[in-house]
Amino acid sequence: MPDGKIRAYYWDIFTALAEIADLLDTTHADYSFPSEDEVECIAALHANLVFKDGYRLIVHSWLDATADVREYDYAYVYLDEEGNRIFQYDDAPHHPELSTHPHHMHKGRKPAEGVDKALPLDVPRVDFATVLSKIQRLKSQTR
Amino acid sequence: MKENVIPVVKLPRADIELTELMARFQGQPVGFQIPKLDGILLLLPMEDYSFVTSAIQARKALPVRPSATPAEYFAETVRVLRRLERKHGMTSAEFYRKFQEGALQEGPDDYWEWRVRYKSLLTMQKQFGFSEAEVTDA
Repeated sequence: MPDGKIRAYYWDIFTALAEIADLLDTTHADYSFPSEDEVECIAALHANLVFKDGYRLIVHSWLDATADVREYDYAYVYLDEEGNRIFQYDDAPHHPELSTHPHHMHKGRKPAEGVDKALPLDVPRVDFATVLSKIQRLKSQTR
Repeated sequence: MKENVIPVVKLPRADIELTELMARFQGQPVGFQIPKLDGILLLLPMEDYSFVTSAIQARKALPVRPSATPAEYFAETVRVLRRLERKHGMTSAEFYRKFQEGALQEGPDDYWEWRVRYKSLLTMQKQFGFSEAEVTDA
């Protein structure tokens, strides 16, 4: 049975999200965030955050709670108001040449065909709070 | 929070001195269930009080999807996986293995969800003992 670690993790990220509530369009039909019961039960986070400027953050992440809770098999895709990718973090093991393998990022629009260039991480670790902080930083720079 | 679960102590009567409780539990988060009181009285270290306050504010400020039972979450997971399996023409286990081996490109956007839903399936099967066979297509 769940031991409460994922629930505690949930509340850490949920309170982090609440701190940027003024940036979010929580009334948008596509806005979606799970309850603590869902996250604990499925050990995963699926969210679609819609921001007031029309940008979105799509989150799919599995939570490993065997020790401290860590995110694996994740993808964080940040899109502009027209659906063009701004950045993406994921840990698909497709780029062993990168120093942060399997964790990596993509920047800019996803190419319609051809190679989607991957880059090493520009953050020490990818998790919900880290990605949210990055978005918050980007938005404060463009204000 | 230092502890994942705050223990709740049932008090036999309501006229216990607060100083007595504080002396007994100071520094430890603890809840007291008191006869005739509809709720739990919490004694928290300051840092935990701040966290609990933030959590209550977050719950008020942000909407979340409605909660369901573990069996309902499992059924939803199985249905999402079946839909993805039909769409991409392979089993979830096959998809996961190929993707992790690099035989499948990062490709379609729903691969990200598929990967995580499959891990959730395995986690829930282990944790709750659910079986895919018991889930019917809605």
